[in-house]
Amino acid sequence: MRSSIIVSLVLHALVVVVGIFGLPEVRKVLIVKNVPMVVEVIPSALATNIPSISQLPEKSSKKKTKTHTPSPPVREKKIPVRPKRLTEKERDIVPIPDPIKPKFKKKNDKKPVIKQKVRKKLIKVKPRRKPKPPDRFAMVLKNLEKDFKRPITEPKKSKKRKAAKQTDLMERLSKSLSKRPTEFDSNKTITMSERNAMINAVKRRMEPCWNFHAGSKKAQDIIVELKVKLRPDGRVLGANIINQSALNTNFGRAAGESALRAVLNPDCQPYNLPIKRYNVWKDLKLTFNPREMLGR
Amino acid sequence: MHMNNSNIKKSVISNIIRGFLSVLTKSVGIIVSINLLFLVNAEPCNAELQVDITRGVVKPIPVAVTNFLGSSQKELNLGRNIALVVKADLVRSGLFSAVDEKAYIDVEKSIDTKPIFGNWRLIKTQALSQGKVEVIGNNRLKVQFRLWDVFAEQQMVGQVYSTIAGNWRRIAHIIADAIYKRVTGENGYFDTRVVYIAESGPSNRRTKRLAIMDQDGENHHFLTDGSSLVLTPRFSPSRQEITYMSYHGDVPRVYIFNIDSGRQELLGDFPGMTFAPRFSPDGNGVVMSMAKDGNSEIYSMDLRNRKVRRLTKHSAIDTSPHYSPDGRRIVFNSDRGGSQQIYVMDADGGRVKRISFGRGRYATPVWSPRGDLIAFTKMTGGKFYIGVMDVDGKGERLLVEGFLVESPTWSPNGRVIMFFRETPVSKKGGIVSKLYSIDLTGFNERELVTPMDASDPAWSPLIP
Repeated sequence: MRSSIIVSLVLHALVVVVGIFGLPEVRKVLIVKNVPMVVEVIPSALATNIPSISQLPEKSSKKKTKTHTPSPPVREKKIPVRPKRLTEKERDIVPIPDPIKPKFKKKNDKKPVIKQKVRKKLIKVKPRRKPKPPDRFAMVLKNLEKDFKRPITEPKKSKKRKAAKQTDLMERLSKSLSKRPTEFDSNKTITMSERNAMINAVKRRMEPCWNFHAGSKKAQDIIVELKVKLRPDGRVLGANIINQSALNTNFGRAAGESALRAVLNPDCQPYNLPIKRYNVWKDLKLTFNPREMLGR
Repeated sequence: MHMNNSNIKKSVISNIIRGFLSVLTKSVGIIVSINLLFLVNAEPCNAELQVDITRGVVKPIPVAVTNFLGSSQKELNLGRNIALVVKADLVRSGLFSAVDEKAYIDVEKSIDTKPIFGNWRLIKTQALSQGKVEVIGNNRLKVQFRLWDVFAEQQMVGQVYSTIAGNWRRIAHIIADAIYKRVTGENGYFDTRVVYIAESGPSNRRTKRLAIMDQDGENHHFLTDGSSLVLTPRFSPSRQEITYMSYHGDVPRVYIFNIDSGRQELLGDFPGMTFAPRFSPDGNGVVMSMAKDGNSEIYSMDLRNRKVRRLTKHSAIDTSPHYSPDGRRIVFNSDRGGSQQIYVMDADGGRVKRISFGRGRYATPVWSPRGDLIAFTKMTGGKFYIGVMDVDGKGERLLVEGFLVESPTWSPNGRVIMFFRETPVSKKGGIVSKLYSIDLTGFNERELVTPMDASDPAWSPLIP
């Protein structure tokens, strides 16, 4: 603890110090000599003409690295990634629309229109339940998109950029910013349908097992949150109530125990979840909410 | 040269400084981005799979009630009987199912050791009750019991009771209440009694007697001899007293009957007919209707000083008053709006507000002891219904339908409603009248077996 605090203090102090001295330094460089002229030229070339970049670094490598470190990673990512994203999307999402497509194909070349309709339908359906879930899904999609870029872009980057620039620290860091921790990379690149399938698998297991107290006073307001640890075979390793403080009444305690019984019931295990994705489902957060059933 | 040298020195120094600062700027960038990285990683976005369970089932919890242990034959017999009563209580509530005794793999020989939960899990038991009976001297019992959560492998309740041997049935009800409360979170209602009107004889000369029994139909006995007509018995919420209306001397009057002493007392001498009495939540007052000059109004009476207070003043019929459990409001029945509907007012008669707006007529509103619902009888489309609504009149749900279903009364925990149902059995007008109970959820309707026809049930509070 102490060392980490000291390290963070030192780092923060450095941030402050360099925030004061570092920025003026950049300006100074720009103001002092003719060098800034070169600096200004480079980004415009980067923006307009990619091959030309490869020639520039040889002239003044030091200055370029100083000033352009933030800009290249952003641009380089954008350019190669866009087409790759699309291709990956198709791969992953295609299985769902595929069965729909042939039906519409008969109606001749109205494919784009049909796709839009399908999308519109999906969009319409989600918000009716709750306004929030669609946002969550959108978030997941965005994150997934980011994840898709990397595995494909990396090899190509290495080919193109060796000629242009080697990835510096800033570049790597900016990548890692858009990434999740690398350890879980393989497990986190899951599609929404995969995630939904896992959620449904858990729901299917739990719903016939959750015996809730429908007649309790204010039963609709008693929501139980459980944290469940699963073993790789899909069986429950342990479970505990997260929102214990909200369940301090007799009804709350009974509701909490009822949810816990559903999770611990050996007849309600194992969960049928893909072992490949164990890192995703080894920790479950289950929220038992009877409001929908009670219609209030 | 000198100038040149100094210039070179300056430029070298400035280069060194610049280099140093550039390193610093880099490092700052790195630090900032590391910090940002940590921030990003702190998001629990993909840390765990979140699942909302919004659907469940409502089914009985399987409970194993093993025979209470004992060291003599007498103790063993008592132990078996207690277990049977506990089991019957729990099963009748509809919230528990009893695991078949034949399925038991190995019953523990002592209640002082942890059960082998694996054995109970195998036969799909979720809660396990164990107990032990000891007869002390000739006439005293010591009864211990424990309730175990089989999945969590933890004790949920452990209690010891001692009483006279004749009270074993009450002990069983109390144990059933403890189990019910611990598992459902709701207070139990098994250690209670029900008073009702026992009817016999032909329909044109019906004998109506006041009768009382345990909530499971046991210990039945009559309180009045049937010489005068009795109606609408109501339990005091705090004492073992009943208020009811009797046609004693052919004049309808409200009386109070003390169960322990058997004493019957006229509740004031009013100028008009008094009916539909109900105790206040503290048991110190009564609210009732009085009909005078063709108009029925609601009155309250303080039982300690017999002071009477008129609460409603309206040309319409106001009747069937019932206090809210906090004693601050009264729900009643009035046709002041053109048809018979349910109204709520303050306990002093102020702020009258109509709460029922559905089709048909509403009658006999009864405030739940839990305070969250009002039960009522509804008449519409030639049928009778018993239903519940929120105290503001919203969320109306009809639980029972019939040729004639009437007189709802709440269990003391506000979970079960008892009522009576009349069913025509012959074309000559023969009618069978029986008591039924139904869970608040609308499930688990059960008949309460009585020796003769029964009507107007009233549920007691938990026996102190």
